[in-house]
This record gives sequence, structure tokens and C-alpha cells, in this order.
Amino acid sequence: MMKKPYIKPSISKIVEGMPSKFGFREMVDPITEIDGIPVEELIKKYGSPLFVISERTIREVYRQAYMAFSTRYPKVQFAWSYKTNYLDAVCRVYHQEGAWAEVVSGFEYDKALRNGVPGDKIIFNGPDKTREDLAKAIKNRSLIHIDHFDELYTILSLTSELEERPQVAIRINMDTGIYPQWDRFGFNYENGEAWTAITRIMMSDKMDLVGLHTHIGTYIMSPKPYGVAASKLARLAKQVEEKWGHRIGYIDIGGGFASKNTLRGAYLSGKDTTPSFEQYADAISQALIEAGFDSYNLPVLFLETGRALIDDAGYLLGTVIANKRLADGKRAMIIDIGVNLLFTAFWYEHELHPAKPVPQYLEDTTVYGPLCMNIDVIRTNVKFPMLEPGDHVVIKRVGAYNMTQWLQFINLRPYVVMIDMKGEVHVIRERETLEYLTSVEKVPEHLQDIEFSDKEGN
Amino acid sequence: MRDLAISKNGFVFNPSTGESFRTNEVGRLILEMLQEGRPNEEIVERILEEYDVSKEEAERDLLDFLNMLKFYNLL
Ligand SMILES: Cc1ncc(COP(=O)(O)O)c(C=O)c1O
Repeated sequence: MMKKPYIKPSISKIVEGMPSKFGFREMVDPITEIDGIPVEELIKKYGSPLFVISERTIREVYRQAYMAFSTRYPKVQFAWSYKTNYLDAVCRVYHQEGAWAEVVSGFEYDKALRNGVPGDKIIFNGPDKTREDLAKAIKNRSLIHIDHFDELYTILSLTSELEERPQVAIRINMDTGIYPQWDRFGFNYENGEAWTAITRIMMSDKMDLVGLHTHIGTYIMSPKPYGVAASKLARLAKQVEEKWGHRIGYIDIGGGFASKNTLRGAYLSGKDTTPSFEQYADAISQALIEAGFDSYNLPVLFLETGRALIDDAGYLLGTVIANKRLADGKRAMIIDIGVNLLFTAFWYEHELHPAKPVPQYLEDTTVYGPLCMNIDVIRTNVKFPMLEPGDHVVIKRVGAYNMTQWLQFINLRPYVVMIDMKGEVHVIRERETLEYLTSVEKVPEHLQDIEFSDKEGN
Repeated sequence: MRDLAISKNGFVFNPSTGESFRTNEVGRLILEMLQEGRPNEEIVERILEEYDVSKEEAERDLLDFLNMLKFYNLL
């Protein structure tokens, strides 16, 4: 007699009139392949965990974003925000698409140069630029976005040593109606500090004020604040023109568009609530067009979009280590992906999928990483099917910030591969090895010899 | 346990609390055998006879299922 296919015994309480958090549909679809490459094959070849980046998705999303803005405003320039993901291969895809580089440290600056970005197509942001960094950026005619008066004075003092005129913008913080208001970066708009900084730059006559910049925050779920920000920057630009007859070349609206990830604790899925690029573009371009610039001399709109461009292109593949019941009866699943690799698990309820079709009996599950730490939680509560140890999982939308903020903690960092437009898989970052890590360690002479006596406890 | 009403399509009703539950085919089989007072070994044997599963997995799943029943105060 043929035996019946086995499905694990399950029981769950029926709670009437209570829809599940994301509506009534309770299904966890499997993700069996990425851009046509089977997940199982990827793990077999490169091990688990594994970061996978889809070049196709990077390019498609970039083109969508570019299209949304360039069809609404005639002069648009994206600058890839390096900190979001500065793997060389990833940056180069953006540069091939036409994006400049946006960096916030000397290290990122040098990385952009190494990637072939011309100095005058690098935007240098951030509060931490050394005197040497600034001198280099001035010589390369990079766009230096001044964060504070001390930096302004350092640049002023450098002008007596260098021939090139610094190309600068100032970063401006402002009230756009969102909370929290980021006021720790740049000069404040409302209290007149930004105008004071502009006046100082214009009066010095030693540098060129080429742009105005703001970055109002990150994961901003409404287009409206961007309209406010663009209006305020445009007004400043107009004032500069009226007072000094000097035309501001660009308005840089920063990054901060929400990706389709779901914030922790959000009631609705990010897929349903995140504005489209078109909606952000409407708000920004409308504000700029209404500002009354001479239509032959419109400032260029710069965008430093990070997470909304790259999140969808990144996947993290992993393996189930074990299942257990917690003291309160709840199911827990331990996987080999921890917060050391998935830093964004602190912000997001990441979408988790089995890598193969499984019976759709879903149970509230806590998903833990492999670290010996209480904070190592990938999902505090997710309706998930039962997987066996050794089964694989796929976490979606991990492209932003994880491959830069990951920690080398307890475990070595895994391979990062990129699937190109033709479906070929390339290693773009090697798996770390013990040798790689210890190559930067040094052991002092007196600690070279280690001897253990045979007796226990010495 | 004995009072539980178990329907063919997997609904379980606990008359002493008024709570309803949903279970699947193997879950129903286990519940019915528990109601008949069968020991765990016999339940596992029966599952092995009917379903394509290893003994180890069936045993582990039974224990897990029993824990869930305790959790819901059904045992
Ligand atoms: C100055 C600046 N620009 C752009 C970004 C990218 O932001 P996001 O990833 O939210 O688009 C950041 C991120 O913190 C930033 O500080």
C-alpha cells in the first residue's frame, strides 16, 4: 500500500473577528530562485549564509527612479550614497547608470576615486572631514558640503595654501513638519544660521557656493516634507541671487525615501504604504517649478537616494539550525543569520520566505539568529510554516546598509555574489577567513609562546 | 480531552471553555487516538503505518504537538 504524504500535526486556536496583521491572506510563498538561479544551487556552491545581489533589480529600480524625476523636472542628477552599500561592484553599476558618488568620509572618498569617479563628480558630505580630506577634495574640485562653521573656517584657511577655488555647498537642516527633526547636521534654516553661513561664504570671495543641500531624515514615509524642503532651499537660492547676483547651480534634496520594507511595529506592510518614486518626484519638482526660477537657468536637482534604490536588489540566504518551543509554548526557529549580518533587523520586520514549497500551516514564530546574545532576533513574531533543520530560508530586501554596517562578530562574514544581467553569478566579496582577519593582528613578543602544563588547574 | 468535539474537516471544539481550534489530518488522528486513551508509542506506530515519514520525525512531532495541546489546556 502506498503511504500518504506526511504533514506535521498542527493545531491552532481560532480567534473570531481578528484579521491577521496584514489582512486575511495568510500565505508565505517560497522563493526558490533569484533571477532564475535556484537558491539551492547558490547555497550549494557558496555556502550559507550568503548575500545575493541582483544587478537587474539595481538597474531596473534606478531607471524607474530616474524616469520618475526626469519626466517631471528637466535637470536631474543622482549621486550614489556610498554608505548604503559601498561594495565596488554595486557602486560601479550605479556609476554605469550615470550616478555620481556621495561620500561621508575620507575612506569612502578614496573608494569613489578608485571606482573611477572623477573628483568633480563626488559629493563630500558629513561632519567628519579632516584637513587633508578637505585639501584633497578642493584640489579635485569635488563638491564639498559644509556641515559646520569649524569646517567652513578650515576651508577658508586652506584657500591661502591652495590654488583651486573650493566648490562648496552648505548642508541645511530645517523644519519640514516631520518628527524627529534632524538638527545635528548642517546649519539651521529657521533661526537664520544657514543665511549667516551663506553670507560668510559669499563675503569671503574665496570659494564658489555652487549648491544648497539638505537631508531631512531617513525612511520618510510621506512625500510632503520633501516639498517643504525643496521650497525652503529654493527660496534661499532665490535670495542669494537677489542679493549677490549669484546663481546657485544645484539643489540637493539628499536621501531618505522609504524602501518597501516594513518598519518594526508598523501595522501595515511597507509594500502598501511606501510612496512611489513618482509621488516623491511630484512633491519635489512641483516645489522647484513653483519657486519661480528663470526657466532657462533652473538649478540641477541632486538626489542622494540610498535605501529606496538598493534594498530590493539584496537577498540574504540562510539555513535553519533548529526549532524549539519557548517556555510559553511559542515556536522558535534558529537560523544561521544573525543581527551581525542583518543589522537592519533592528528596524525592519524583514520578509522571510522558505526556499522551497512547504505546507501552508502557519504558526506564530520567533526567529532567532545563531549568536549567543539575547538581542539576536531576526523576527520577534512572524506567521511562518514549519521548516526542518537544514532547510533554507530567503530574506528579502536587505540591500541597504547591511553590507556596510555588518559586524564581524562571533562569525566570519560570508560571500557576497552578484547575478548579472545574463544570469551569471559573480563573487563580488570573498568569504572572510581566519587568515584574512588575523593578518591585521599582531602578537607582542612576550605572548608568542604559549605552554600548557599537563596538570589540571596548574 | 474526552469532551472535545472533533469534526471531520479539522475543527476542534472545547465545550468547557467554548474555544475552537483548527487542526490538520495528522493532528486529528492523534487527537482521536488520545481520546481513546492510546499510549504515545501506539500513536507513532499508527502514523508510521499510514504516512511516509521517519520514526524520529514522527516522534518529535508528536511531542511538539502534545506540548501545543498542553499550551492550549487541552491535555
Ligand atoms: C547625507 C546623506 N545623504 C543620503 C543618505 C542616504 O539616505 P537613504 O538611504 O535614507 O536614502 C544619507 C543616509 O544617512 C545621508 O546621511
